[in-house]
Parts: sequence; C-alpha cells; structure tokens
Amino acid sequence: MARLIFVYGTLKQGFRNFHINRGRRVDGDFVTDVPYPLYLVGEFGLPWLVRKPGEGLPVEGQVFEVDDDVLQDMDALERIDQAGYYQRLPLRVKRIGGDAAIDVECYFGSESTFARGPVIAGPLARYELSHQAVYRYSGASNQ
Amino acid sequence: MSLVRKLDADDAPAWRALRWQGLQECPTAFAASFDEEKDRSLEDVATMLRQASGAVFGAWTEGALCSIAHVQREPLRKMAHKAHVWGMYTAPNARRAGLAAQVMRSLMAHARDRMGLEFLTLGVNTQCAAALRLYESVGFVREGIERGFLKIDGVLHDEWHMQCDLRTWPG
Repeated sequence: MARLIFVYGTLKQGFRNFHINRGRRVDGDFVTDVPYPLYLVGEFGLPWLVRKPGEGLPVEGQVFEVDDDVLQDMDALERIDQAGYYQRLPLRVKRIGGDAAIDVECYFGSESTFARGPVIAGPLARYELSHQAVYRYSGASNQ
Repeated sequence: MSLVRKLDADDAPAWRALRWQGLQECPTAFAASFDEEKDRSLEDVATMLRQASGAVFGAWTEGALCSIAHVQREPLRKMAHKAHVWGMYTAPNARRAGLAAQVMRSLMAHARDRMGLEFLTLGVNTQCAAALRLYESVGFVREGIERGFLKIDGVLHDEWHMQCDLRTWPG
C-alpha cells in the first residue's frame, strides 16, 4: 500500500540518503501546517524534528509516495524499532504557495535523545545541503 | 556552510569581535559606542552569554561567526513576559544571504518556546531601511517613532519602536 511520507532531512532529493528514498516525489515543496522544533543534534548533527507542535518554526520538506518495500528500507534507516532514534508518525503539511493541507507521515526524532543533546544548530526552518557538512556518521542513519 | 545556534560562554571571543566590528562599521545602528565597549573583558561577555534571562543567537559560516542577535527578558516582574531584542548585526561579507532572518527566526522561536516570552520589542534607526525590512519580514510591526532617540556627533536620529506578539506569531 502506498503511503505519503514527508521528509525534511537527508532523505530529501539531493541529500545524502536520497538513494534509500526511491518513492515518487509529489510536485512542489511542502511545509508543516504548524511549527515544529527542528534541530541538528548530537555529535553527528543529525536533523531532528521533535514532535512538539507549536514550538520551533514551520519546517520545509518534500513529500514522497512510497511503496511497502521502500518504506521498509526507510524505516530501517531511521531505526524506528530502536529506542532513542526515530518514530514514523502522522503529520499535516501543505504545499508552499497553496492552501490545502494533506495528511502524511514523518520520522520524528526521540525527545529523550534531543534532551541529551548537544544541540549543534536550531531551531531551523529547513535542513540545507550545507548542514550535511556537520554530518559525519558512517553507520545507518537518520532523516 | 552556515549554522544558526544559540551561543554559549565559549563563543565569547567570536561574539566580542563581531560586536566590535558592528559598533565601528554602523555607529548609528547601535545605542552603545565602540569606545564604551572596547575594554569589555571576555569574562564579562561570557557571563552575559550564560545568563538565563537572555539568549544570544548567531550564524556561523565556514567557522566564522557572521551574524548575531540578543534577546533579554525585562527584569521587572510585571514586565517579565516581554523581552527586548538588541545587538543585531551581520558582517558585510555575509549579507544578502538570508542569514539575519534565520538568526532572528531562531531567536524568536527560542524566546517563545524556551523562555516563555509573549512579546518582543526592538528599536531601529528610521534611516536603516534594510533593518526595517528584515524585522517586518520576520513578524515585527511598527508601533511608533521616538524622535531624537540617539544623538551622534551633534546629529539627532529617530527610532522606530517595533513589537512582535509571539502568542500569534506563525514562526
């Protein structure tokens, strides 16, 4: 079954883990319908969207339609079965320049990991290519 | 590469250097003068950066601090839901890249989410059109003009008082 996934970090088109994301991109760029805190955290500067709606800034990203196989690979990358990493949870976003909101899913970072820090940057409105220079992790990773 | 984050005491040398640069390059943009701050110690700056009643955000590009802004909670209990934003400065070689707006938005989100603030105020020289555009672009509105806010070398400068209501700020 195809699902709509909002990606805001390294799974975005043009970013280091895009090869894992083999979904079909939905046209345009999207932004969360309310602010969320997006930080670069930990010594590797992982992009970390914390599920605290109303805090932080409206966060920009891309939406992809993915099938079960791709979703399985993305879930594995984000370690959703391990405490302290990411969880795939519902989110509402809207196309930048448009009005209609759509329901998607998104990989939120663990609040406890965020609380441990350190915070490298943020709160941010978007994860940019230049932020990947902070990212030095060589193992399976993150958003 | 650019990183926007809250500064801490270890950033005192970089903050002071950029602050001095701003005071010398744009004397009409700041109430403080370089002569009044040139002897400020790093210990004093580090203490300021540690204060829980305030926060300083900055943008780093290629390892150099290039844009800064400060938010300071009002000290009186009846005014502690408000804070004043001051000391916004971006180095000339880092302008027109959107860094100042990024610093301001991160600072404002921090002020609302981590400091529990409801209103932010700031003042800007009425002749600083670029600064006015910046502040309006991130959600500040003009409240009124104070005539003769600064007097520099015998010349009076007016100031726009601006405010942002963080309770309704969209981010």
